[in-house]
Amino acid sequence: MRLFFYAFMLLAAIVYTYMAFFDLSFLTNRGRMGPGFFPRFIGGFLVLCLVAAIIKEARLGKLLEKEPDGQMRDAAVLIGLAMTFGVLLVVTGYLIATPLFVGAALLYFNSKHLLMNGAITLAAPLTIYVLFGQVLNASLPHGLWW
Amino acid sequence: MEIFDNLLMGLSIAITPINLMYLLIGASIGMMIGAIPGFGPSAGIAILLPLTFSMSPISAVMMLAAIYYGAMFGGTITAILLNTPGDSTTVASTFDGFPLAQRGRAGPALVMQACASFVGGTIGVILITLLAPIFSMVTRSFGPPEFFLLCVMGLLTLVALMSGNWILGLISALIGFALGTVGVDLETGHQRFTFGAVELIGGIHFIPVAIGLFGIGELFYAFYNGAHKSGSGGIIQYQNESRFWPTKQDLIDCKYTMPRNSILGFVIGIIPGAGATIASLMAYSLERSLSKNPEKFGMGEMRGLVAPESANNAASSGAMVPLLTLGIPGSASTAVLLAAFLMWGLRPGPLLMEQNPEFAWGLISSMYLGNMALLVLSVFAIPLFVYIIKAPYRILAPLVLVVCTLGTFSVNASIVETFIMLAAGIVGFYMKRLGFSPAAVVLALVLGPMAEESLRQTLLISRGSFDIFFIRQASVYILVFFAAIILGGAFLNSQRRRDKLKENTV
Repeated sequence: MRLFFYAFMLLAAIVYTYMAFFDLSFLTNRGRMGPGFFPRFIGGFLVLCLVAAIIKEARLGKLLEKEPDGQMRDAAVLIGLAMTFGVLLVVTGYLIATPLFVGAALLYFNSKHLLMNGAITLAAPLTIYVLFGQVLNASLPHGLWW
Repeated sequence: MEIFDNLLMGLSIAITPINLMYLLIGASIGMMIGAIPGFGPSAGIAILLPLTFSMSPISAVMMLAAIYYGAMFGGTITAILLNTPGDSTTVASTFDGFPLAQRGRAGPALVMQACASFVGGTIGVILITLLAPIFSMVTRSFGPPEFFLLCVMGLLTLVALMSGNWILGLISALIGFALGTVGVDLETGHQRFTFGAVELIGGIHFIPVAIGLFGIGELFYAFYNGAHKSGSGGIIQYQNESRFWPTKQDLIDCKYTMPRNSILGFVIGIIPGAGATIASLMAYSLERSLSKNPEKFGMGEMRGLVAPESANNAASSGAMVPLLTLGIPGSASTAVLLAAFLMWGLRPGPLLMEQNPEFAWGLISSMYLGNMALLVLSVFAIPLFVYIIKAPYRILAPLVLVVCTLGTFSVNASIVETFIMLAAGIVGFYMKRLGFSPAAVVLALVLGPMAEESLRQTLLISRGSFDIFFIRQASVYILVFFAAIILGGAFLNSQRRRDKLKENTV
């Protein structure tokens, strides 16, 4: 996982630096700092630092080391549910996405208390809707079909 | 004496049953709104502005000012209990606030935070009363060069965050700087790293990244550590909490921390644009360099929480100085307040105190009352917040995630920002696991664009010459202050090392 994360960061940093050098000018026509002035320094340093960090981790033998398992499965389930919630907000809107997300998360993590889960699944989205939508008059995602 | 006469007149206007009721309502609502991730003081005031349409101008502005202070108070509650700063001003409060809560000291941390906010706010208001005209004269001479130097001073705080693993800290800060360059370049109008997305033209905002990296990342990390499997609480160790109130030692440790950082916060807060974020970071940095045990900072040191809290509340009072005396808003929140003033036909500026003394002094007096009300409200509200967080984490976590997601969405009604927050949550989770510094990312994201813009403006003024920093009087004073802090810090560090060496030899 460590290797994957470093590889992802390095790739992103290389793309950023490439764009800073090839899409953005270093100086303007009048010789002032251009839009690429700071990004070039930032990108260049970022790539160098990431390479240095990767070499350091590789030397210490940490890069390919297997991480202690922990509760990775539970964390991954929550991440998956959160991303699905994000997509559902776009498609179905707050009113459907929130009870679905809360209900699914409680069903998975708190499966022994079905009655309580049901009550929270109904009450919490309603309370949040009243707070955000009515009291604070804040905008909530409508979804595609409403 | 004239000042005290004016203040008494202001108090006589502010202390009416109806005004006090609005003050209390405003402070309570502000505190609740501030505790919602994504809803900072500016959003709170903007949302609740319509509620004040039917009130008299003094009652309305008193209520809005109370919302402003209340939101500043409330923002720290989630920073301490959930590691989720609702606003950039409370990022520094997470450094030691959350570790304190994790060590079973959530109660004392919240009470000390309330006391620090009270002291900061009160010292700020006293300084407004006594010195507002003088301060406004001085800060009027501040321009981009001075602002750039202040940003650099804020960025120095990053060094403190890198003490664990400097290369990972540096990478984190560079990621923050890189994110800060996304959007339209204000000088040339060129789009940078937007990939053609309209939503990114305005840049990547602080709120989704901060809520994602801190709040959502912490949530994922807590699940990774199995916090959801414990009966109650989870990330915060309530079973270890022996007492709700701070110890005598806490108060002794912080006796100078509160006043000195309040004064620092007030001075920084006066400068338009610098605001409470830089003030809180500088206060944290100052307190760390003055401490005999700087290594304890970041591990749950009470002074590390009290310093930024005193500073950011004093800065919020300081931001009122340019607003009232020059009509210049020093922060987003005071900009919304300015809009409210104008709505009631009040034009803040040099003549406000002469033409509308009842209003100006009524507002200043209400700040004293507001600070007292908030201290009392906080002490009553803290057990309630602690009680909520005591719920099993497996139940609390999905609800926190929903509130964070909707809080982020509602700021700009942007689904892109919601996905940025979720992505930042995943990145924050891995950063925490691998030893990177999410705080450095967020701070660099806030301060980087400010520093870039002010440096470019400075060089535009000076036609490319860096001499401007040594010619302007205000810049020279800041540079001297800067040098004094660095040299003083280095001297204190070497003395500390010598003392420790001596102790070890003995």
